[in-house]
Amino acid sequence: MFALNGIFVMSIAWISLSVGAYLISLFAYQKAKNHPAMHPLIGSTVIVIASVHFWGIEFEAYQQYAWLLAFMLGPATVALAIPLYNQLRVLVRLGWRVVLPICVGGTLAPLLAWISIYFFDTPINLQMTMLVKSITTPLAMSTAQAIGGVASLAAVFVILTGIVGAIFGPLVFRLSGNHSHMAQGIALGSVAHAIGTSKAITISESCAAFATLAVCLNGIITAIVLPLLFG
Amino acid sequence: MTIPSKIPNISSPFIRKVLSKILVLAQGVLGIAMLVGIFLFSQFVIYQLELSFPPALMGIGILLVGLILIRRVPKPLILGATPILQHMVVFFIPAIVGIVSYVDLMIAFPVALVLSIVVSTIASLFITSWLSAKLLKGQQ
Repeated sequence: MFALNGIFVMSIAWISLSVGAYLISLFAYQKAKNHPAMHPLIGSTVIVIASVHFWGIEFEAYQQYAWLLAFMLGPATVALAIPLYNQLRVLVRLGWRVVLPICVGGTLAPLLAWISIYFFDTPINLQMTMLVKSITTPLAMSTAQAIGGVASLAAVFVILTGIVGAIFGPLVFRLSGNHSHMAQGIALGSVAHAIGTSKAITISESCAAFATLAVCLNGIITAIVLPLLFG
Repeated sequence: MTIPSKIPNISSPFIRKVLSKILVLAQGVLGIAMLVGIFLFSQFVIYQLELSFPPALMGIGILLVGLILIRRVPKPLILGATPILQHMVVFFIPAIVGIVSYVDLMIAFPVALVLSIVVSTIASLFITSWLSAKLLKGQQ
């Protein structure tokens, strides 16, 4: 009973610490006017890793204590059906004109990434993980696992990809002569997933709506196709 | 469990305010419980059928079909989903701290990682942006 109590107390302590680290990082992110390089996940991760190190517990132990937090990623991903449902009308109206670029972006991003690491004699788990880098983190983590990649590496690649996409988005749009907010949203969502979408929100509402559509569609298609190819 | 959808007629504005807050909270909790239920159900089915397929993806499918059938998003789901979608990042933390075990692997291939994460992302973004701008030209 005492041991059980100990785990319970430790779980509450580490979950609170993680949430606290997130809130501090979120505050810094908002202070920096939502700059992609200040993404709250970076700060939260640094704080949590430093704390785990400071208290000298094993990282596996931390992951056991914070079990509930990791579990909630599943139900949160299920909730993605709601924004997708809200954009369904647009999807039906524009049909292939939105589906095609999302599929092209969703195929090109992993393919180019994989080609670039293939020639460096990288281990297969690294290569498999790179294939999921352009889809939303929760789907990327479970898909990476399904095809022989590494979930935590997937999360890191996905976040970094999103940050790169969000930072270079405006420049790329100028260079590619893209002045349509709808088209910008599709590019941001299908290559830079949720971080791209948070950039899209600062451009316009329709940009954000198309980015959301692209994130959901690309995530779902990739998560279905990759396990069929490599599972 | 049923939650009254309207606040009973009470004259005190303070009590009304507190009651409506509790009502919103209860509906949000109910919404999150629905999402957890769908996720657990998907996990159970995938485990039983021994599929290699993310359970959350099946959950998205189930919820989407449900929403299409009832043709609207129930209020508890909106209230429950909004905060967890907005603060989803907090749920990534336990997985991402696992990165400490892979630091050596990442340091071993610096050029490959920069190429695949920075260069290829910009290239894909450029092509997708160009193509979608072409296809959506003149669309409202």
